[in-house]
Amino acid sequence: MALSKIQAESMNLADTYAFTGTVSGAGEANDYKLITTTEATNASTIVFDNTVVTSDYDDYYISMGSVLVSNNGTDVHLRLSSDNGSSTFSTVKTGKVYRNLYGGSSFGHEQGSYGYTFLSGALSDGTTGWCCSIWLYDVNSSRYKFVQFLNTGKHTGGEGYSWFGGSEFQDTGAINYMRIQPGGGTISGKFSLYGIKR
Amino acid sequence: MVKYTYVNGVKREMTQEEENIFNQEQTEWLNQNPPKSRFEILLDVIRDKRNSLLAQTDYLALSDQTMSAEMTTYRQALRDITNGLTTVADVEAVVFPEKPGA
Repeated sequence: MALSKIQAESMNLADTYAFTGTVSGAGEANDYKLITTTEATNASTIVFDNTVVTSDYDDYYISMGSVLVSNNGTDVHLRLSSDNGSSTFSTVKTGKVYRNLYGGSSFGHEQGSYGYTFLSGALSDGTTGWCCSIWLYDVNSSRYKFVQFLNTGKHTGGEGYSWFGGSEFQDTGAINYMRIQPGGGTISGKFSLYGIKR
Repeated sequence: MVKYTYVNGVKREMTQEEENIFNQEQTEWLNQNPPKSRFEILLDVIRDKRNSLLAQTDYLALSDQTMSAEMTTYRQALRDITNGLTTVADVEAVVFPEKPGA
């Protein structure tokens, strides 16, 4: 509603106003946009494919909240692809450090080479959720891709843990597909994909 | 059992090809990470807490410190705390020793 119209007609903030305009600017410089949100229950996989993962954005951010896994002790993995999921990047160097929030051993670390990023340590099942933030940088570049992640949740022993780490996906193709899945069983939660244009 | 995927927010059944790939990936992970028993999980928690408590008094083992007999006994009790644990009930009954004054 234009300011002149508001001034002429007044605007009752208790009313509902339907928006009929067009939002423009997606993919423009310095843009940060929520692309899609998935609210999943007992899913095997959460996929963002080339419909939403496009070259419009330089970086992507995935927000995961209220996440539950069905199997006690499972990790959660992220797999990436440059051919819309026909195959996924096979060589991924991953490292992460963790801390017990309940006063156990103060510090630990894990690293390895897999076909995915393993975001968490062994999560517990039940009703206590887990949260995670993932940043994917320069997804369109012809260099290896780097991913950072940070998450907190219940470890399989029932105590809270926080993990943070990163991965080098050793593939030079532009990313156009992301798949999140548990190491075992199913996964539930809210997963949002944001695009960032720099 | 039917397996579901959510693609860009939309739920649908997995195709047979998707399910085959998913099953293969989960099998590989489970082979590398066999599920732990409740006993093993609880034992990990005990070890974690034990390691933390030992670390808190590690400085007393430095060459320029003198460790009291009570502290030596306390630290040895921590090291031995998993000895003889064979059941979930054993682990759940563990009582950590009280830390003496330094």
